[in-house]
Amino acid sequence: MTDKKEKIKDFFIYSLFQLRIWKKIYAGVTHFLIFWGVSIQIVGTAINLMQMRLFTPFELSVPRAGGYFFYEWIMDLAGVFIIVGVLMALIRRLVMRPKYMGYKWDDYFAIALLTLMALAGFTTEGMRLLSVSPDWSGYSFIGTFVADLFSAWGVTPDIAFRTQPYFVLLHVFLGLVFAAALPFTKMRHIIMAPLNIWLRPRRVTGALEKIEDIDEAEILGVGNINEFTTSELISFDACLDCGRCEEVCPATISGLNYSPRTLIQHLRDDAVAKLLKKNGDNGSMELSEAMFEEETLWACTTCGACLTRCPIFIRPPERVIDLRRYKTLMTGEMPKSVGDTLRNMERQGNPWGMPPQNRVDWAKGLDVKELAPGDETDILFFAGCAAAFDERNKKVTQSFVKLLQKADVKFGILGLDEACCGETARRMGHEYIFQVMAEQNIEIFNEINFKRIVTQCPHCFNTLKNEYSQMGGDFEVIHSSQLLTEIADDLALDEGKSEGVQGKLTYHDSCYLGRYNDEYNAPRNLLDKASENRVEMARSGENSFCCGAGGGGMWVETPSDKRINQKRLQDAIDVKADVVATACPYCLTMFEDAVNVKGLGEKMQILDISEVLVKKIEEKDG
Amino acid sequence: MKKQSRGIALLGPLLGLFLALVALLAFTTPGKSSAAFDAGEYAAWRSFHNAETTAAIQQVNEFSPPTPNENPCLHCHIAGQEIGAWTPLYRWFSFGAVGLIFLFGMIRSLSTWNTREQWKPLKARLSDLVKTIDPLSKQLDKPAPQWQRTLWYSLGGAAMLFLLMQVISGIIGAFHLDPFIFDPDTDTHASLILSIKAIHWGLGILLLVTVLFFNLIGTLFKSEQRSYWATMLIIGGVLGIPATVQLTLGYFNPESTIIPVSHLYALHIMLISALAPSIAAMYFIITHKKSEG
Repeated sequence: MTDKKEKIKDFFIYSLFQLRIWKKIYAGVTHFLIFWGVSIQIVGTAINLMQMRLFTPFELSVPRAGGYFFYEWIMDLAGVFIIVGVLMALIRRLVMRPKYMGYKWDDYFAIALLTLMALAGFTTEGMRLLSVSPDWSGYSFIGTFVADLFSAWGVTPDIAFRTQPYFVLLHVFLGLVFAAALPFTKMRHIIMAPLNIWLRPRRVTGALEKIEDIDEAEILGVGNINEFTTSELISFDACLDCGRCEEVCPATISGLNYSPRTLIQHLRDDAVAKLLKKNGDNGSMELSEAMFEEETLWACTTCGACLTRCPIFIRPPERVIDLRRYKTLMTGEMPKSVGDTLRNMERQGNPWGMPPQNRVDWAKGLDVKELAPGDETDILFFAGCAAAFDERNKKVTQSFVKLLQKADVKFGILGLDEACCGETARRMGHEYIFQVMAEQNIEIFNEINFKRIVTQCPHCFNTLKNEYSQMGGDFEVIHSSQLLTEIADDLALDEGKSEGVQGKLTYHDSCYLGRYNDEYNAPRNLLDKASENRVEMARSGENSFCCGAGGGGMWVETPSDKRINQKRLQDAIDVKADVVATACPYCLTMFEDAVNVKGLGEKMQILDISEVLVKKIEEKDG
Repeated sequence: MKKQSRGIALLGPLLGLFLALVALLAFTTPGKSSAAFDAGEYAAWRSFHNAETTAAIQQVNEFSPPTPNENPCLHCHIAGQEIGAWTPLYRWFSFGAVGLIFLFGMIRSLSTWNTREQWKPLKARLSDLVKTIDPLSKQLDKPAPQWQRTLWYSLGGAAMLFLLMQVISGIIGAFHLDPFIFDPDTDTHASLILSIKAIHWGLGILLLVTVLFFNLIGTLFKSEQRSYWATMLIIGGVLGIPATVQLTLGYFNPESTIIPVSHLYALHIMLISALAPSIAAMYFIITHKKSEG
């Protein structure tokens, strides 16, 4: 589909029918009523103005018959939509008061104005019907109701006729205030939101924007408000402050000092203060210091939960990376733990800081083929740093290799030629390290004849699949769970009497496998073959909750009472899971940490799906 | 003092607009019935309107609204199309003003996000424009003398005061409008009207002279320029244009039944309205040059 066609489709789906708003039913209904109520009224008013020949050189003559009655009916219905919609909005703000919503003056201004406009409109209509009593007044059912109401209160047709023009003026006045206030209040989203949907980058959400010609670039990251692109500035202006992103943000929920809503709102405030209005800072465009506070800037795990919720496709994690790039590449100011990790990557080629010569220690005794330039294979297994250097994850890698060998898959590894994929550096903002590592890997990939790359780590998977193409590396990349699904029959999981892992099992979705790459089913299908007692946590699939390791979070020091992995572990405890299965080495590590901190090591097992499958096979074999 | 004058400068235009709105409502109230309304100047003006409008007014007075099937409509299908000179002007003025505010807001945001450069206020843009097209720079590029400060500050405030009194007396006069009363001794009411009218006319002259005086002499302080521009805006924009159009139509209408006194009245409104923008333009250039100096 061409870019233009996709944009047009987007316009209808997300701007006109606002599909994403319906992810919250109450808010969806409220917005539906207000949006369509106002839209129909605007169209109806335009017809009205043409009937009256107020601004047009021609007159639209509509006889008071047939279709006109439908027009009267639909206009009244639209008015009811508005009244009910604003009432629901008011109840939400004053009674329900969800924590994640913004409560600013212009929220109430918009509600009040819409309410008054609708009430003034109905009063105008009621006065009109009371004064002229047309035969068809029944079609204007609310107008008739209001007319009867005024009549019961003693308003005569004469009085109605004389006062009606003033209500018309009031109605017109409110309409004009609405139009004039639109660019200066939250109501600007009527224009800005569709514009943002239209202009949003079509880059897949898993791929960050590349810094081109990084060696020559003078601006790295964003330190000044005017270094954001036009579409990014528009996205700030379009933000409705609805708080849906904040509601699902693991950092916010865990009590960290970060919220995607606040970030975007602060960026908008900065943009308005420094670009739209005069400032007392000699025109300085520098972003406020508040943007770069350590607790804020390094709390985002780039899990993408906010991306799935934003009705208008704003991308807060990418703005976080912009700011991190500025800090790591321009000023060098960053938390010590981040600095240590980046230094490890620069010096040792992996975030763990382990000697690079240990990279293939995990494969000892497994008879795994190390590929050399010119070799040919079906599958190139890109093991990744976690698999290579983390003791716990080495076991996962070994399990996966056993499964490949059992299914006679023709595969090989890069051995010492494999470099870190660079994902951690990129998410921490150090684009330079990422590009160097990506180039190194792509060079070696190009020297080997393979059909597909398989990775066990979703972070490597996402980077190789979605980001290496920016560096000229276009390869077919799959995740281990996808490959295992393909070879499941060869693994003969369904045969034998073994039950595999015992107890209740639940699966934790990795953000970079699920939300960023839409793979929710493969791991579940595999687990269902190995266990009959799988349950879902309350937050799963697209609504899953991050483990806290993404976006460099694995390496950032976090206060012990605000750790995201503890929150996520609680979800597993809530469903009384005995086993938590993951498909990501980072998630596995975070869960194990959380289990150890809570002292649940004896009660709850944390396993990779490969390990779950191997247990099934081994027990059966045994 | 500076804050006070700013307050007045802001309050003045708002008050003026409010009073203008009240005046508008007073003039356009359907069904208004009084001796002054029926027999006075307003009725004479109404004779410019076509028979349809007159019939509509009569209908209003007798309360016989058109049936729904006959209603080409203004104000929701009741009174019929209002084609008087005032109504379209106010309609275009109000809708146009809102449209301009809307456009300003959207253009300001979108152009700023597009260029990513600081928004240049309209005042600065206008200033640049004047610099570009200023034809009098050589003649007027002279510094303002120090002694002007105190004196012209007072006169700036005087302009605002005259304007406010002018508007208030005009509004009061509008509710009792009858140019044909010439015998105050026999009628207390007529005496009052003539007094108001005298104040209104006198203030108008003072206002004109003050404005002309500023123009001829030199400059005002920046804070007082707001008062000046508020004055010009209200005289020229809100009150002047509709009145001028209305009277011009009558003045050049050969079938007009307007009497000579009203002809004179129409003429002076027309001249003032024509003079005001010229004075405003000249004054703007002068004060701009002086403030630069």
